[in-house]
Amino acid sequence: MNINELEDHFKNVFQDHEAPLDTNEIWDNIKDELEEDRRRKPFFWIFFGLGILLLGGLWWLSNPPVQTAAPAASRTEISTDNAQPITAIHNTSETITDNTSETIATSPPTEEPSTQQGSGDSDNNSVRPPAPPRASNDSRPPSSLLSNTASKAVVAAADPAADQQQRTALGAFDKLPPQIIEQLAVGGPSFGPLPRKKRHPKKSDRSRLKRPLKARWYHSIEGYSGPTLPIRLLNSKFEPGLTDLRKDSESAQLGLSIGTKYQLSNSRGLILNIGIQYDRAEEKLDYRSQTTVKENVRGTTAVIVNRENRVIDSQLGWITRETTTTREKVHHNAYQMINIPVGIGKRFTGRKHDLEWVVGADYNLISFYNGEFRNGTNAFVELGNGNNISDFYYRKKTGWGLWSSVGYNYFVNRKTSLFVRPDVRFPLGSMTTEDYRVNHRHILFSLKIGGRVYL
Amino acid sequence: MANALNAKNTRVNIESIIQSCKKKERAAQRMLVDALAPYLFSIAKRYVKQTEDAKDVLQDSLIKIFKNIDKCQVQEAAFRAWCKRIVINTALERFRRAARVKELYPGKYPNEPEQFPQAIEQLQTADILRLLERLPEIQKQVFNLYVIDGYRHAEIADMLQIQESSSRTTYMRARRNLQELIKKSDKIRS
Repeated sequence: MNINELEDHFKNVFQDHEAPLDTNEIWDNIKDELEEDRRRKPFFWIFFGLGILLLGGLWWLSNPPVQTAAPAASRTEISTDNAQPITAIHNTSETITDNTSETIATSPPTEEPSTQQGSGDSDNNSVRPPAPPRASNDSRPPSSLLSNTASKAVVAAADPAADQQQRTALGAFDKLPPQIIEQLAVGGPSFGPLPRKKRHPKKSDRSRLKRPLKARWYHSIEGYSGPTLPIRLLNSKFEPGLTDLRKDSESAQLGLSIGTKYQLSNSRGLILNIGIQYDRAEEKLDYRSQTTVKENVRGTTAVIVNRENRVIDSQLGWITRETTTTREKVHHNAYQMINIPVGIGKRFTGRKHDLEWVVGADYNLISFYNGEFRNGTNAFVELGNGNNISDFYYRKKTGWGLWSSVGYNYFVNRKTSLFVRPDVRFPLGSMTTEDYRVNHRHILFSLKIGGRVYL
Repeated sequence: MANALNAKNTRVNIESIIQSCKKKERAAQRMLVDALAPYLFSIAKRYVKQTEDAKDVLQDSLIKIFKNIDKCQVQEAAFRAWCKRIVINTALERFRRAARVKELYPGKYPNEPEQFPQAIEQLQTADILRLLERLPEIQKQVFNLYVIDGYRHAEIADMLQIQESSSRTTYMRARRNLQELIKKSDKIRS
């Protein structure tokens, strides 16, 4: 038989060869997985949407809206007919004399509906032009404030003593800086304290005020480790009964988490970080077998003693001996993962302490699983196949996971801080053991303790 | 080739099925499985010893195909080649994984010489599969990839993560072994 002919024959036979197959069985096995994939997508988009919202929120927190002054054009359109009546000033006379911006800010002028005439319907947005400078002995009301005839009439009709009090108040009013008078005329700022700055800003200050202050950025590297406790979510489309059995008989054990991260943070509290992390989730299953063996052995059944209790004869016979042996075996399973976490968060800064909240996603680089038997003294049980691994070793990427942490930092000095950080990780994919095809998904709760150095 | 893609004796337009599969339509996915699974199963069986393992490879491959169907071309020939590549890669990946865990072959490997038909034309699929089964795993893979699936040695080296020269050597050994197996078969007959 020529080998070249054989090769050609092989090629021809297998070119479009179809092996007999029950496609229904194949379809039944894969349709669930395809359905899962379809279901997973909205789940992903929900988290994506939440992430975008969170990012937007953080951006808004780190860039608060800037309060802007009314445009100049709107001021010129307002006539003095819309100005507030003088009686509005009357109620603030006691505090105005204090002549400090803080006190004035706490008691903005109020309106009394009963005393409003004509222009009393003026709203808080009406703007009065600043009063011109006046001599201190001139007790007349400022002409700009009394240009309305109706307002003058109200003052004239009032009690002379009250009128005098008003004029005194207005004298003090004139001593105020024009900016403050303007603020009072419009009913004060909408929120926030009045500006403290009175000096004319330097050129450098003016240019800086036009744009928001730049945030300072800090780079840091951290290392951490800590215990991890998994909550196991199991399912298997192949062997559902086995899933229940595993849920009942296996228990989650403390694992370990070790990692390092690079963090970029700014003076407004925004945090961005990326790192690499090893997580180990453990579970165990106790096996305990007790064997009782009964056997007949030759032994002394009776002894004959004299009066001094000395044995002078003995009688041998068969006696039954019972031996109980207890063997303990512990089956340890370890699910190990190496992840690349990426996060964004917010820091709430104190003097020596701060609190940070970070959320993020991580990508699982490697997952592997192994199981081993140990005896009562925690020594490996040889399984006779050349190694101690009882279960098949399966290696798979589980894709993305979501995580969140809240950390408490204590600054040892300006460059170093120590932190403790509870953390939770939710994997979006699951790991499958080769032998029983049970999908394991571990929600990992860990407490990370570590240190951070600012570069 | 068109016959291979006929599902239940009904000629269907494979390109329209692929288009529908890209929209994740369940009925189209089912039709594609009916049409393509026997062909892909035949490929899987050449690379994997056990039938159940071949089914696993097929299932994993089909899931990969449906998950990544957006990335493939709609043309029938290109699609078949793409699916074939996925099945071969999945089977090879499975083999590598099994090698890592030193998976033991469940039964004793048959060492006794077997009898094959004398004329080449009489060699049926099952005979060829039995013949290939008797080759060492790496030789079987290289022989399959080179002779039946038509890959070049450079591609095979890349797929199996070996040197190109190793691929050539392994192929020559596989040929020699096949010849010896057939000679032994002839001796038994005589």
